Formats: sequence, C-alpha cells, structure tokens
Amino acid sequence: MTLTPGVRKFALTAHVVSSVGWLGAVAAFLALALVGLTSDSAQTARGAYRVMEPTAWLVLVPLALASLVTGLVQSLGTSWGLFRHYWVLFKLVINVLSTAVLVTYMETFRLMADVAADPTSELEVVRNASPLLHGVGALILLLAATSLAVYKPQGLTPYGRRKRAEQHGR
Amino acid sequence: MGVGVDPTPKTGTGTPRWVKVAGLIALALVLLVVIVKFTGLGGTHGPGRHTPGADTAGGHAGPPPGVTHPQPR
Repeated sequence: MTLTPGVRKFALTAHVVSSVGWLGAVAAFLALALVGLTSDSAQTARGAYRVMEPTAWLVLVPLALASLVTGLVQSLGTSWGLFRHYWVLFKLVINVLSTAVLVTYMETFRLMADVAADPTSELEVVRNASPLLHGVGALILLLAATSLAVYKPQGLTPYGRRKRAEQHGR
Repeated sequence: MGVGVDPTPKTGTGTPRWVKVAGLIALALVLLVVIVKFTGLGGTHGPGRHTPGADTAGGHAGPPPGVTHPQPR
C-alpha cells in the first residue's frame, strides 16, 4: 500500500502535530507535577493532582493514540515500511511502550486525584513524586523518538535487507 | 513514522553501531527496572502505592512516623 503524495503529506502533518503535541503536553504535565510537589499553597498543590487525570484523558491519551495511528499509516503507506529500518522500529517500540505505560498510569492519576480531593488527607500524602518521575521518563523517550524522526539514522533490519534484496532481484 | 520522502538507503550490512549502543542502553534500563521491582528497592509499584497506607519502603511520599491519616474514600 502506497499513499498518494497529497494523502502522504496530510498524514505526515497529522503525525508531526500529534507527536510534537504529545511532547508538549508531557512538558506541561512536568510543570503540573512540580507545582504539586513544591507549591506553598495547599489548594494549588491539591488542584494540580486533581486536574492531572481529566487533562490526561483529554490531551495525553488522544495525542498518544493519534501519534501511534498516524505513525503506522506513515510507515505502512510509504516504502519505509514498519520493520525495515531500525529507526522506524525503535520509534514504534518507544511509541507503543509509552502509550501502554500512559494508559496503565491513568488509574494512578485517578487515585492521586481522589486523595487530593479528600480534605481529610494530609498534604504530605497528597504530594507525590511519581508524576514527575514518569514525566521525565516520557520526555526522554519522546525526545529520542523525535530525534530519530529528524536524523533518520541509517541501518536496515535483517527483514529490510531481505526485502531490498528481493526487490533488486526482480 | 515521521516520514517525508521515499528512502534511498545506502548499502550496508550488519547492525549499525548506534543500534547496538541503543540496544545496550535499553537492556540496561530494563534490567534496572527489573532489579528495582524484584528487590523491593522501589517499594510496591502500581497505583496502590499512591494511596495512603501503601507500602512506602522505597522512600515514596508517605506520612512521617507517628502521623496517621485516613483512607481515601
């Protein structure tokens, strides 16, 4: 399956927007995590943990899924393929891993929001370093994926070498 | 994924060095996560650790000694 140039450009735009948007959303979550950990205001700190869950559902999860789907369309709809080049394969692994961790982490967001919403919870129980640690990990992975997309380092997988040999043999 | 134009890869055999280095880093990180998880250094992982009363052996946020707190609703 090969996309027409017009469709390919549209799909590429959608992939770049969703992927870079995901990176920006993670940066915003890092700011929220810092506010939650360090704010002198108890109300602000509790508020930070309470807005994480709905914001993640409305922004992080849709962008992650959009990045994954548009990436699959891009790779399968062009001659790059999904398993032929190491950099594409690495991006796929990063994307699937990050999305899976994010979806799993939604339950943690919910629990932290519940604790923050409970006025009887001590503030030191509400404060939690977990979003900051996970956010830093996500930022590193997404920056690596973005760098791979820009630099496109050379290297064919064994499958890619075999496919290329087949094409040259025709 | 993030593709602009059709590729015209240069000839090359074997696994590139950057793939080996990245693979080693990934392997080291996976091992680190496994070690932290199975030695208990990171405390109890999963959503349960973020609720009051969860195991805080890994130094995660929790109340100081002597401070009691209610369970979440």
